[in-house]
Amino acid sequence: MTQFIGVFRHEFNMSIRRKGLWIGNAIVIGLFVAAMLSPQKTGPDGSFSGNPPLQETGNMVYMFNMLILLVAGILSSDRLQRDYRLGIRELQSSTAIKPGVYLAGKYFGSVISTLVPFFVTVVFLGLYAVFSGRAPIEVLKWVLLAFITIAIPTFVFVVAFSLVCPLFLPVRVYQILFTGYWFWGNFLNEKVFPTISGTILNSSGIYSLQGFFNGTISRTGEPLHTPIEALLNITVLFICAAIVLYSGYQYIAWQNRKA
Amino acid sequence: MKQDSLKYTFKTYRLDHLYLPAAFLALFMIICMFRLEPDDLFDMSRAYLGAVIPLVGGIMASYAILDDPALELRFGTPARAEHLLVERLGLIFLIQVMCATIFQVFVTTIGADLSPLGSFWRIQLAWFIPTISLMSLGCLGSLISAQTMTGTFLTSLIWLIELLARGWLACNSGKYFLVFMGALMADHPDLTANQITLTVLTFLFLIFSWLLLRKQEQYI
Repeated sequence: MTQFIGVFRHEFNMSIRRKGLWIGNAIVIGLFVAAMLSPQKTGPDGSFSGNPPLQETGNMVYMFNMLILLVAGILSSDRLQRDYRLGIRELQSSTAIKPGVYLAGKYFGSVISTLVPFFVTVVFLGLYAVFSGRAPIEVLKWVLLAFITIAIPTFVFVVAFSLVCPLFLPVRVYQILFTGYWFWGNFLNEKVFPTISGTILNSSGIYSLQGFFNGTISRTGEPLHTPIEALLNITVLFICAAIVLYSGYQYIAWQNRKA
Repeated sequence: MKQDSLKYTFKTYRLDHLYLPAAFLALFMIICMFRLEPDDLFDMSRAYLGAVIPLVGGIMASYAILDDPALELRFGTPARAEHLLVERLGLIFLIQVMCATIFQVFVTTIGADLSPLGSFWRIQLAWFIPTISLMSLGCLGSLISAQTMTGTFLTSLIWLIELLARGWLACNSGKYFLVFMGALMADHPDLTANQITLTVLTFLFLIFSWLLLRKQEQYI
């Protein structure tokens, strides 16, 4: 446990201090906050002014999730690979740190550091909605719920791939494939192009948005996905992340044995 | 000196600069073979030419200059900034040109009609302008922050934001910065203004990159 905390703390501190993390998040958050708070035809502004607060909360978290995750995926892609590239892994493998502990520390450090700006933003916007009288105090609870059900499963899924895949691929190749995947696999209409976006493998958080927060209601008035489907989607994302991390663990252990 | 420099560029050339664009080209060609309806072929063509080529070019360009294991040695020699830019970006761009040309010949041969994008030159501008725009953005982003990662996520973010919000951007002043307008909204009345704006921006980004590269010591 001490080893895990050490690796985790080291990774978290390195990752949270990256300029890129804050520049990327500032671009996305600035863009969305400007769009949300700019005057709309339907009311004084675009946030918490029309739909029920529960739905608005889900929409807000989902909206940020669409782009912040791209930043997180790209920034996480060199976290493990750079240890190999810079020769740090050789030093680390000469210590008593086990491959599983090392991978877990790197993984949770990356996931949590990339979630911090996102969490701060949505909590701040929730507080703004409450204190400006646009939404009841319960909205803070829903923000937390939306963050847990929409943001965390997608971050868990994406960061696992971003850490492990660059062990097998050049980082830039992974980054191109990841950017393409994020649009193709989550937002592209299946009628236009063959895609997995309409399946349970969609990792954008749309299942949770529709299943738990009634977001994006269909023309018939029925939610497009049920809470059961949303739970299934979250489970599938966690299982995929676990499989990928296990592959990464096996690869690192093999590298250690080979060295 | 120039010949040696080019020789170095070819010798240290990363193969993924070649195989990744080739893999995307092959993938889209295979998909086209399974979707031979003219409308489907047109959709595939503008997706590949207008979105995939610029993304690949943009991210590759982010790595073009700073991702060199012998960067310190390279900057230790009297290399001129403009030569470095042309060598590194030119090679990446050349591959994108080859992919775009091969793809257009292929889809036209199997029956695609690209005329909804406009004349021959309009079709070429539909992929050329987004490609050089994202390439110059990626290169500048990397040089400004002295990190390839910044150029990469700037390119990816702009690509994704503009693709997801293209309808919204086309209705306001974002229409002048919408890199996909030539491929996805070829009948937009402000297409010419959009292409002029993006070309001017590209030149500005390249000039700024050149100015940054003149102070090579900051990357050592």
